[in-house]
Amino acid sequence: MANHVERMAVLHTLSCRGRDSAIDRTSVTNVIGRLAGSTTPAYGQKMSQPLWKRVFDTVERGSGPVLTRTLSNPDVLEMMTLAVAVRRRAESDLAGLARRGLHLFNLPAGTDISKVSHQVAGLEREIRQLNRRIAELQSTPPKHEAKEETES
Amino acid sequence: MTATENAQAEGQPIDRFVGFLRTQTERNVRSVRNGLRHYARLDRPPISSTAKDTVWQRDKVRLWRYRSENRNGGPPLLLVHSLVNRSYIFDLVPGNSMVEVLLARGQDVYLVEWGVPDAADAENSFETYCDDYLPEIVQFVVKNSGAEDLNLLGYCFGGILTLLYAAGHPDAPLRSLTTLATPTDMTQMPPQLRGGPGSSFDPALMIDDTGNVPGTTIGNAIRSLDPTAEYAARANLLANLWNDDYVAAHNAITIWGNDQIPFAGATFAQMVEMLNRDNGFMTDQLSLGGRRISLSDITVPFLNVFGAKDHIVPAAATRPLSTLIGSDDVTDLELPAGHVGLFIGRRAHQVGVPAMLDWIEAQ
Repeated sequence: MANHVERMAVLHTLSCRGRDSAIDRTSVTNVIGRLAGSTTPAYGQKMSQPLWKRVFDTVERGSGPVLTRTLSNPDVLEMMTLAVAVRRRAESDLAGLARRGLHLFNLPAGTDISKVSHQVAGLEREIRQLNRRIAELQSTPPKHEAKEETES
Repeated sequence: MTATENAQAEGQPIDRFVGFLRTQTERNVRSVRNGLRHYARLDRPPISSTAKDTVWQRDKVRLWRYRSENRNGGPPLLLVHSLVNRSYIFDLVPGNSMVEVLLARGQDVYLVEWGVPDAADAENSFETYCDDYLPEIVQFVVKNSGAEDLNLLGYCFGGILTLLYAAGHPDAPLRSLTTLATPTDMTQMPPQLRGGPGSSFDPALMIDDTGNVPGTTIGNAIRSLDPTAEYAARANLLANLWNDDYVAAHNAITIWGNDQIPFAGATFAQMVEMLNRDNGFMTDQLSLGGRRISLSDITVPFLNVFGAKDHIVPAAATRPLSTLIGSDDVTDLELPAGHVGLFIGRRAHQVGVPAMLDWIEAQ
């Protein structure tokens, strides 16, 4: 228990330090550094880096926060959602055209395959429900057996 | 410093120059070799390699029990992973595996592997996971291990599933509940992952032809939280190609980080409505299978673990959870780590995970 308390105290100190320092934007790269061991610097740690890497780091440090702020702007997020909707609509229109073209030659289109796969998925769901029902029935004794046990 | 580097630092200028050339040549040769291996994908690490058995299976869901000769006889520990990425993060690579640490401490470890959803799973809802799979899995683990109850641990969205399960099944055989990086106050989540109150975000737009949210959509949303991180990671890899350990660590983490899987459409729509828009955990507006449930009904000992540097699920989104749980025994454990650094990496294995285990074993 003392060990536990001691560890909690260490953690508290570490977490206080963590809160004081700036939030790591690239926590994954830091984890990589930690996984690789102490001989390998974590992201952002000073070391003799090649020129290209120093230039990259400078550009990345400058542009990263700007891009992050931009991408979390509600208007930009709405535009991204709209872009998804527009892409879906365009894909649907193109799929309609392709379907008509392929059906002219009595060939199956992607939408036909999609329809079949939905039907297969529906069948799989029904089989799952039946399996569940069978398992339930197997786990509960039949009513007449339960009655016989009570009578005896 | 290596022996060559020491000699080069201590010797005459000409020796130092020769030493420098030798070091650079060695590094360049290693860089080329590692670069070619990386390009040809010959350097994939042995992921999720701890010995285990599939002890239960239904539909796509599997339950693994890790083999061990060292079980301490305590209640088993059931790990519940998120639905949007793969569970092997718990058992990443030999030497950097949370499961290894748990087994070394004598835990009897079970892990729920949800599988990769397809069109047949599109209608899976919170009820499917929390009223159907989890109750059966928990009962199975208790029976299979011969224990009376178990310790339950959920990570990220897996934490949400364990919370809903525990709140919806107050009589479940739980010794304790631990959640890791589990979002609670959705108003504190990054806007890209929120779609919160007042948002015009339509969840149907994210759902594809299979009825699920594609893994790439989830990956893009997470990547947009830090748009340059991926390129920074690649640049760091290029600069450290000579270092075998760095390359191995990079591969392990980035393979998992890019391995998002589809998210069951029905669960996604429920999450957006109940948890994001209504902020259900905070406003106590939770329902499961048509019945009202509340986190205040969770009365087992509870540990809330979160990372001070987590940019995916910020500490501010997780911290309030402890105040909502009905248990008298609630502990917060804030670690100076990011979303995966909570249980991956040397510091996590030396301090964070042992602290969690100290708490779990004390219950």
